[in-house]
Formats: sequence, C-alpha cells, structure tokens
Amino acid sequence: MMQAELLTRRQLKSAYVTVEKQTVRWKEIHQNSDQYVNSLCNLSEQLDSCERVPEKTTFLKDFPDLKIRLRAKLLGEMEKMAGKLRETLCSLQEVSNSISRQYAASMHTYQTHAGELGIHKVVQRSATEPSVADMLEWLGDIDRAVRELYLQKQFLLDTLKYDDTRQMQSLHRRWTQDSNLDTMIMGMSYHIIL
Amino acid sequence: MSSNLMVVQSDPRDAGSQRCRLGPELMTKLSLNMGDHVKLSLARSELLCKAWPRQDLAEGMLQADHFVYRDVNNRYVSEKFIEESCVEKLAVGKLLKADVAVVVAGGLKNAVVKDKSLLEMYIGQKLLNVAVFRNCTVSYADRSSIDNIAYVLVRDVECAECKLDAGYVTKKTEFNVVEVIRLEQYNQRQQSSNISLGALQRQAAVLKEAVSLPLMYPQTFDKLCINRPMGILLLGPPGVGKTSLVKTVAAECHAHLVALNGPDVFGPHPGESEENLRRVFQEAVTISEEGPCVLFIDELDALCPKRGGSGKSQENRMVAQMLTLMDGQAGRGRLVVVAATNRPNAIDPALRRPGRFDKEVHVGVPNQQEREEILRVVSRDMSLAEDVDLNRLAEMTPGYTGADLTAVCHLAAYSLLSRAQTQDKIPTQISMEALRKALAEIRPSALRGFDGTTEVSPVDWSAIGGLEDVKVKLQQAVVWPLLHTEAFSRLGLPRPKGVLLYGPPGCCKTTLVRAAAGACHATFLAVSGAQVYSPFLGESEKTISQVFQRARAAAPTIIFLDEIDSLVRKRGEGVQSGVQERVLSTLLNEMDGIGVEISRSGGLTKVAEGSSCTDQVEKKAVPVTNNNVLVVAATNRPDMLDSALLRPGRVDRTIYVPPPDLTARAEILHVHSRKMPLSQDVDIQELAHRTNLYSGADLENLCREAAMQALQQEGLDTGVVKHTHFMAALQDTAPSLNEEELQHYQTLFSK
Repeated sequence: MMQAELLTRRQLKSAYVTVEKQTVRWKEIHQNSDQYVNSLCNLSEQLDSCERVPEKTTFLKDFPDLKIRLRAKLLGEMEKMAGKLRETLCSLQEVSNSISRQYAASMHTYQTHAGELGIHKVVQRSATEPSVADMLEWLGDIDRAVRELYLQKQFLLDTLKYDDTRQMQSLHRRWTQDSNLDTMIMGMSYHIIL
Repeated sequence: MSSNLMVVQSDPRDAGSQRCRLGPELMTKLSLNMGDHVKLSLARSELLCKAWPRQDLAEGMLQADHFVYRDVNNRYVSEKFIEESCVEKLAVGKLLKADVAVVVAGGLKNAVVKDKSLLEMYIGQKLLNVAVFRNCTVSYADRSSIDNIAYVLVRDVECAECKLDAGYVTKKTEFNVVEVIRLEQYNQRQQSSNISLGALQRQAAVLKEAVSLPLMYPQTFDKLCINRPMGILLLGPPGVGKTSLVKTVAAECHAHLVALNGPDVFGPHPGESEENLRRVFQEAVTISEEGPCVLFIDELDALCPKRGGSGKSQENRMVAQMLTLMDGQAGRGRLVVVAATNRPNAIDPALRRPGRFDKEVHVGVPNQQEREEILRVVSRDMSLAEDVDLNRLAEMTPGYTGADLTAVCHLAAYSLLSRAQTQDKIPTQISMEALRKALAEIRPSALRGFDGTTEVSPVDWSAIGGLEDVKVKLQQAVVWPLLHTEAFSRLGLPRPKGVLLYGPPGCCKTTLVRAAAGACHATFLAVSGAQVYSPFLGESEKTISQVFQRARAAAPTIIFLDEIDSLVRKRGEGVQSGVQERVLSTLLNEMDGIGVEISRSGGLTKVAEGSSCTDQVEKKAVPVTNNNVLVVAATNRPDMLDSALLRPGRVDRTIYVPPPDLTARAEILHVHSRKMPLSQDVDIQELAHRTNLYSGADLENLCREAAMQALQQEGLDTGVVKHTHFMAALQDTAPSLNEEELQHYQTLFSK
C-alpha cells in the first residue's frame, strides 16, 4: 500500500472512531434533554389551565393577584427549562462541530494526496474494506445529517412561544424526531471495521 | 469511448450533498479529484456541483444533485444527452458576503423569519459548506423541513478572490437578506414571466396604478386616509384577454395573485359557499399585509347574479356575503379586488357602486391597430413565411378578439402539420394562404351562437348584370364610408347611418347588398324577420337591440334588414298587435345611437341622452372606427315604411333599383344561360328586346322555362336549347311588373 493511501486511510479510521464516540455523546445529551422538554410541556399545560380558570366564581376571587403571580412563576420556570435546553443545544453544537472538523480534516488529507492517489486507487474496494471514496462520502453524509438535526433543534428553540399551547404540545414530538440519524450512522459504521 | 453523457435523475440519497456523480474514467480525463467543483451546462439549468465518482463506477452517465442551479434556456443542448464539454471545472474561493432572498412556504409568521438578523444567522448555518454563484437558486423544495424554507435565491456574491463569481460558504460568510418571499408568489413569478399582452395598454395602466400606487407612496396613503380596498370591474366580451390582463399586471407589479374562480366556491352544503368565500378573502387580506395583493374573481356573474328571484336563496346569500366582504375589509389599502365578467348586467347592481367596485374598465373588441399588435405578439415565436402581411391580416379580421386571432394562428400551424402527413416535405413556415384558410374556418366569437341573424355568403360584383349606376351609388353609400374613414373625417363628412334600397321585386336588391358586403371587409349581419319575432313579450325588441350591440362590438359592421316592410310598418295604421311598433321604436333608438357607449362593452344598460358617465372621457381616445355601424335595408314597399325611419339621420340615402333596361336584360340573360348548351340560332338581343318589363327573376325563370320546353319537345336526351324554345317560353311567362307600378316607384321619392 502506498504511503499516501495509508495516510488517508489512517486519518479516516481515526475520524470514524471520533464520530462513533460523538454519536454516543449526542444520544446521551439528547436523552438527558428529554426531561426538560417534558417539564416544559407540563408547565405550558399548567399555564393554559391557569389562564382558563374563571376568576369571578371560584375561590380565586379571594386572592385577586394570585393568577398573575402564578403566571409569573410558571413563566419563570419555563424560562429556566428553556435555558437548560439552550445549554443542551450548545453541547449538541459541539458534537456537530467536532464531526464537521473530522470531515474537513479527512477531506484535507485526501486533497493533499489526491495527485498521488489518482481516482482509480480511491474507488478501489476490497472484501474487507470499503473504498476511500465511499468512506469520505459517508462521513460527509453523517456530517450533513447531524448539522441538519442540530439546526432543527435550534429553530425549534428560536421559535418557541410560551403561551402557544398547541405548539408546546407538539414540541416533544418534534424534539425527539431524530431516530433516523441513529440508523443511518449505525448502518454506515457496520461497513467499517474499526 | 463515447463523448455523450446520459443525464440521469439524481439519487435521493444525494439530495442536499451537491454531488455530481461521474464515471471515474471521465474524472481522470477531466483531471478532476473528488470534491472539486464543476459547472454543468444543461438544457434547462446551469448547476454548480462537486465531482464525485459513481458508486457502481459506470461510465457515460451524469447524475447531478439539482441543488444549486441557475435557470437558463439553452435550445441547442438536448435534455437527455449532453456532451462532455458541458462539464467544466470551476475554481471556487471562500465566500465573504452574499445578498440573498429567502422563499418561505406557509406564512411569514414565525420568529426566525420575522427577525432579520436571526434569519441571516440561520441561513449562514444552513448553507454552510455549500458553494454558490451569482444569481443562483439553492433549492430545499423537495425536502420537507421544519423551518419551511423552500428556496434561497442568491442575488449577489463577493468572494475572497475578487475575480470569481462562485464561492463556498464558510462560518465567516456574512449574509444579507434582501427580501422574504412567500412560496406561492415565487411560483407565480416563475410561471407568469412568459405571458405577453398585445394592445390593452390603456386598461393595463389603470390596473397597474391601482396595484402599485399604494406600494410606492405608503405614507401619503396613510395621510390621505385611503384605507379601503380598491375594486375594479373588468367588462368585455369573452376572449378579449381580461384574465391574461390581470395575470400580466400582477406579475409586472410583483403582486401576489389570489385567483377565485366563481364556480369553484360553491359547495354542496348550505353555508359552505359563503365559508369558502370568506376564507379566500381572509387569505388575500393576510397576504396583503405583507405585500401588494390582487384578489382576482373571474366570472363574477356566476358568483353574484341578481338577487330577488324566487328559489335562488343560495345565490342571494352569496351576494350578501360578497357585499359584506367588499365593505368590511377596512384598513387594507394594499388589497386590490379585480373582478371580470362578460355579462355585466347579470351582476347584482349593488356591487357596481363606488365603494365596492369603484372603477369599471371596459375591455372592448380590438380595433385594427390593436389586432395587428395582437397578431404580432401571437405569431412572435412562430416562423412566418415572407409573404405574410400582418397589417393586411388585421384589416381582414374585424370583430375578431385576441382569442380568435390566437386560434387562427394555431389552426394555420396545425394545417401545416396535417399537410405534412400527406406530403413528404414538411413545410416549416406558415404562409399567408394557410392563414387565410384558417380565417375562413374560424368565425369571430363575438358573432357566434347568436339569434336573429342569418349567414349570407358574399357574391362578386360581376355576378350582377347591368345596374351600373346603382352599383356606383351603393359603393359610395356603403363601401366608401367603411373603407375610407379618414377621407370622410377629413372633410367633416358624417358617415351615413342607413341606406335604403327600394324597387320592384326581383331586381336583385339582396344580391347587391351581398356584393357590397363582400367588397368591404366588414362584418355582415343579416337580420331576418322570422328570427326577430317571438311569442314572448319584449323578446323581439331585445333581439333587435342585441343585434346592434353585437354589431358595435364587431364594428365595422353592415346590418342588413331584408324586407324591412315586413319587419316594421307605419305606426298607427290598422289593427296591429303593438309588437311591430315597439320593434320600430327600438330600431329608431338604436339607429340614433342611444346607449352606444355602455353597450359597446357587451352590456345591456342604456345611458339616457345627456347623462354623463365618468368613463366617457376615457373613451374619446378610442379610434372612431369602432362604432361604425351601417344599416342597409331593402324593400319593395317603400310606401309602407314609417316616415320617421326614412328621415335623414336614420336612413340617409335611398337608392332606387330599377328594373333592368335593354342592355341589362341582355347581360342577365347571358349570366343565366351561361351553363346551358344554347344552339347557334338563339338571339339574346332579340330576347332582350321582347322582354320589356321583365325583372331579373323573371328572366331567370324564362331561361329555366326554355330549357324545360326543350326537354318537353325534344325528349329527355336532347343536347341543345333552341330559339324556338325561348319563344315558346315567352308565350307562357308574363312579366311581373307593369308600367303603373314603375311610375309609382319612380315618383315616390322624386318630389
């Protein structure tokens, strides 16, 4: 095996090791964030119920500012939860960035040796190893998929409205919508013997 | 190795990766490495991609992700196979700055889209590592995403190496969002760029003003307290281009067009139709808050017919809803409601007042100059032969609307194709002859499917024997005013409104008129008494006035009233049902031109004399040729006609058609015996001498009779008609005229 090919393959291998680790980390962070989303949903339901209580008829009439206070408290709590989700988002961004870096580094390594390698070497596959082209392709796909997921979550947080009950209720479903990332990365990793 | 590449649809897994799959051999040949940027020039678009080897390593195929592209129209590149030279390596630098427009589906409500700086950051992250070039489109349309961004349109780029037009987005790239566009509007812009209008500039200007003024001067509008939607009603016969007018104007003003088809709104359940109507209006109002918006209601007459009829409760509710909606949209200066109809009188009158539909714009049948423009636009992309004279064609097509002219051109093109089937050589150019043939097949839609008129085939002047001075008179009275309009207006000569031909029966008055109609390229409407009279009260008058309306729409027109004495008689004579009197008064009114202005647009409303109408000033600009209607009547009982009809101003010229004199009789006999095998001894001159007081019809009968005599006397296999046969026929037939009668005709108008 040529020096150039060896270097590229070694870089790719280390990139995949990092990607695997980062995927595990992504999952952990994500599972961790579940509780925040759940309590955010819960709080929004409370807020909604609080809004709907008729003021004049119930016991609330004895405590005129109770509703306002309750509302302020609930909103404060929601802010806190959203803050936690923002922290989660930052960690997710780190994961995404780290995968991006791996992809960029692998592309860079390939491109510096591209002249030496030539196309035919790059597309050669063997029974035990995929070709360099395939591995770069998968790495690129993973990078894009992870960034897209991250962007979705960022968009969700950016457009969050505390008093929009319907949006809040669907938040949980939309937040956890990344199962296909898992299968995709797993499927690709199977091809590679690390 | 073949030099052609087959263009294959891209792999869905590649979507968004900007990859362009090529065979490894080709990549080596073009000295491309993986991930190098290439520019592909295809038939419909130019793509910017990254070169990548195919997974199955096959050659001869090109599979590009349609992600970053620019629309182009390359006629010379085939869609399926392209040459290798269409793949070009492109050096790409880092992108420093980019001006972009964002196309968003489903409303512009969410926080990211509203906040410009947030949107700019978001776009920056979304487009990371994507290479773009000037004026390209980045498409996210096929992938449903949570953020609803469908396209990012890159307007301008600035790269690190300043020579380049293309660059890839890095984390440091600055984005500037110039515009946020709704997806519907974007799609409309893509589609409507290829409609073009011939003529109609005047109407387009009115519409454009209404749409674009509020947008250009928003502060002034606020100060002037203009806070109602603008309503414009387009009136005009079908096929003149009302719908395409609105579409073009909306596209030109970059206004969003919400189309509402009258019949589409109706639903099967009670209340559903109103609900639909409210929904469409609400949608339009929402859009108008973001930008200019045109709500276009086509076929308004179907949606809002006149109220008050029994059993039309649904329509009544519909109209009521419409009125409320038109009134209720206060504070929306940017919404323009445009409705189109070809039956303005079927619409509920409550809609046609200022505050609902403020302006009424008439779209009339095009005049000659406008027809030429339309023809030019229609035939722009067709290849015409050199002998095609569009000016001449426009002259030949009075009463044709835009739709008719389009149909004529298309039919001519089709006839070429069908001829190509029978011949080997395929003609590629549309000749004048093909257009003429198509013209004969397509009748102007203004005259189609219409009661009260009959078809008359024109004849040539030469088919009429004799009567030379009558022909000249008729040409002066009928043909000149229609053909030489400018000469008449130069001398301040008012055009005659009516011509009466009178004379004994059988002296070819009808044929003369047919010849005159053929000589000038005017629409010819022949009214027959049988179709005018109807058992229903008021129907006959309506038919007459409709004939005049159509005639004005399709001007210049000749209206031919044959046997006018049977149609209208003297008033106050004998026992009459009163129908004839009413028809007469309608006819008199129409000839005086009361109600011309409004009804020219196809409406039925009459404007009383002296009443003013805001649109009248506008109409002065229309060339005068447009209300060019000439009434030609023929009768053999001129004494039976009402004197009001015969006064100058209505019937200006009366022309006496005398019975044929000697030479005329000889000519007529020649004309009628042209197809007969005459023997040598037949003396036409002698026959002419002996047939004094015979009318043209009598002479025709004489010829027929002579031939019958020949068959009777010589047996059925005879080959010639002899002089004796004519003489025998003369014995049998008697002249239908007499001196007394002729004297009467001659003295009638010669006082």
